Amino acid sequence: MLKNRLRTPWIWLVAIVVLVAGCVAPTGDAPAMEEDAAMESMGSGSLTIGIRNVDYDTFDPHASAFTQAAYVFRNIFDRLIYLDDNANYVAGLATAWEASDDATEWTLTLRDDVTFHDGSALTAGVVKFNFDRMKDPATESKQAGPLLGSYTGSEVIDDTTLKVTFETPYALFPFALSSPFMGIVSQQAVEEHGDNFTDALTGSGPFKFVSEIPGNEVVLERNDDYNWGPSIFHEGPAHLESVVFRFILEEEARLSALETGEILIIDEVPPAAVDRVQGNPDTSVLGAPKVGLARGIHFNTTYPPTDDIRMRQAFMHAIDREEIDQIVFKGVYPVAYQLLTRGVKFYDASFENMFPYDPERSVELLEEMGYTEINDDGYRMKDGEVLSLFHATFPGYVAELPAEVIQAQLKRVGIEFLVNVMTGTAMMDGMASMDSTFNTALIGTYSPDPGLFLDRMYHSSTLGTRNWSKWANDELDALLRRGLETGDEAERAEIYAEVQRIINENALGAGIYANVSIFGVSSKVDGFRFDPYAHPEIFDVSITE
Amino acid sequence: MNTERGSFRQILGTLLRNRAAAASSVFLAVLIVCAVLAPVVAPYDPLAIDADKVLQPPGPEHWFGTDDTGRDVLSRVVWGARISLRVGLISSGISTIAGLILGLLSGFYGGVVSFVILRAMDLLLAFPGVLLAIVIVAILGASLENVMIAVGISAIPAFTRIVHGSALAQNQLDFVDAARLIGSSNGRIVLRHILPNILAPVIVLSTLQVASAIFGAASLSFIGLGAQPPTPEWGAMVSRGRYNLREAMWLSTFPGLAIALVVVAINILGDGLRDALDPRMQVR
Repeated sequence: MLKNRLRTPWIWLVAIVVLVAGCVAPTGDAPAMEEDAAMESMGSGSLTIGIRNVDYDTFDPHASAFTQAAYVFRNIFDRLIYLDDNANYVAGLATAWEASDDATEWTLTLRDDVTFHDGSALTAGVVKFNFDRMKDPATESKQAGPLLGSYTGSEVIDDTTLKVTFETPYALFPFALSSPFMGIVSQQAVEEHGDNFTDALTGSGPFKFVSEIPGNEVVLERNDDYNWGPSIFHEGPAHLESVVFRFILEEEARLSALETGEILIIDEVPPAAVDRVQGNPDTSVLGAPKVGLARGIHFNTTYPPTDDIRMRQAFMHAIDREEIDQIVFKGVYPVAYQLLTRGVKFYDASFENMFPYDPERSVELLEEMGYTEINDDGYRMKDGEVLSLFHATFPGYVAELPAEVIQAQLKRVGIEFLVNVMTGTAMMDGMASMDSTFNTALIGTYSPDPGLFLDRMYHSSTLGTRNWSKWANDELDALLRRGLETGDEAERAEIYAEVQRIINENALGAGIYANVSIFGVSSKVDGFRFDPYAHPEIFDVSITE
Repeated sequence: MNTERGSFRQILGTLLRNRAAAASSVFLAVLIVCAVLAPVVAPYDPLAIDADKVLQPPGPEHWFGTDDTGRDVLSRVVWGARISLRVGLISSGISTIAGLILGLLSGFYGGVVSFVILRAMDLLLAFPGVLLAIVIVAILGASLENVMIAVGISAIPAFTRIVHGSALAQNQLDFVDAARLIGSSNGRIVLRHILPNILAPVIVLSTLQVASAIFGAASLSFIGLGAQPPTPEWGAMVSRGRYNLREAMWLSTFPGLAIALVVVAINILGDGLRDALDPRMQVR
């Protein structure tokens, strides 16, 4: 026994030395084996994409909440409507869509030549089944269900015509249909596999699902029959024979895989490595801003001390965004000055910097709240209790590092900011709960039109699910709903200016930065681009020498 | 047999004649002084970020360089010594005390008591130490305190077994029978006659356990289950450094070296102690 104990630390030591040696070993000369693998993948027209977030939930589009899951399933499931580069509607599985005068009824006309991967045909009945499934409580839909708004049901007129009804007007319905989470699944496959549908994901998209090793990789192969792609893409089936999504959490491992040619595309190149990838003749950086709700610190307004608006204001006055940019983002990710990012539709710059960096004002507010004593660690106290905030964040450089900088900035005014790194799912569940004991959490969400995500984040009906601030009132509710009901752009601009005023004025959150899709792409890859959601689009990709 | 106290100088003499052990002792002593005097010794505030000094390589101003938020790595390593040594001592203390109690109970009483305790230890031993610690931290929540408890608990079986074995052997010796015959209580026999005679291997084991505990805690912090930011814990620093490993290898190297040196030094000291405490026990 003694002998064993003696040896244990040595084994660990050896392990760490080997590990560190492995990590720092120069990777410029790729081992022969990897070179071979790369050659082979080119010959067969196979693309491997490295994705950071191993913590995706499910590839069932109707149940999923995660963008990185959508990166995968958007290739398996077609949508009824697509967006072109300027966010205009383009026909997908639906060739026409028409609203009744009050926009409570929509008539969709479908293509008649579409077959799913299991051979079943796309009909109006199948689309009705899809909508009903998204709204079925058993689906526990995080995105698709809410995107359907006040959906009450749909009626099959004939095989290619469907009438969809809403309780309240829904002018934004076609936009909602363009979301990857609204992908159309095969009714036959869902009925056959039931709860095991995720083992047999069946859509009508350009790629078929082959296999998944959870948290590790997903393999897709080309759908050779595909010839109903939207006009924004080339005609006929995809160029690539197969696509492998590999989930690699470690930044350095992802970067090395790109540099050795083992993987041809990676997501989330860390800001510090952008120059390195750009400077390599074999790789380049492609980016697209994710407009929408900025990545920011959202406050739980029901749990002390962030239930006090002065606390939230003091927090915001203590944040120096320029310093965060200088340390972490280095200009690669744009700074966000309010809860929305610049570039999103109806963005109103007049709400920028409502609470500018002003530590003195911050201290004033804290003292007004009664936090006047300061303990040995430099934190403020009231009645013997330390002013401490529990912050939840998902792992990763662009989440942890800004949190640490903010932590140091808040310490300057005497606020203790406890950074707790957890899985994305744990963070979302913990923050959403009505009796959450998190004070703050980091999130952003992206869409070229703010209507849907603002409704999801700030409407009273999403309390307990997506309304993280847990702050809602009738005025805001009415505005959010009116914004979805009307198609009048001028009226919507007014509505969303008012919404921006309310959410920023009440200090529901501090926008920190605009997220950007930053992909590292090998020079062998042709035709890679982003859609208006800043998701990677691989249908047009081909691989060259 | 009761010669330990009398020969303390002798033991120390033997220990210091072992040059490696002497060097390790000096190193550890210096480290302890640094840890205790961290506020004085550390050149900078280990938590203060500085946007103008992000990722500076080691140089005259910052001997170990600065990290990705501009914090001085040397200061963080020095403050980290405080944390790591505390973690090592406390969790080793937890395992030693719990192991002594359980081992003495099972070794002295035998029978059902021994059966229950040893089977429970077998159950714990069925899991690798680090895995067991991960499970415990997952249950208790990620924090440095819980890491100490977790690492401490995961090492209890090793102590229990060695104490049990030694106590069992002592229990059958004549002087224990003699004590029993003159009417000593069980408590007195255990504390006055058995315990002093089994202490040597326990001291050695708990010294070595300090090293294992530092390593275990660093491993847990590395995977995000231990110290939370901005705590300058060595394992957490190694972990954070990997984001910039290619551009700034000093971030992981220095805390990594600190872990390695402390673990090696404690192991050498432990080996030396073992030789000094019991010259017959040449296990190697």
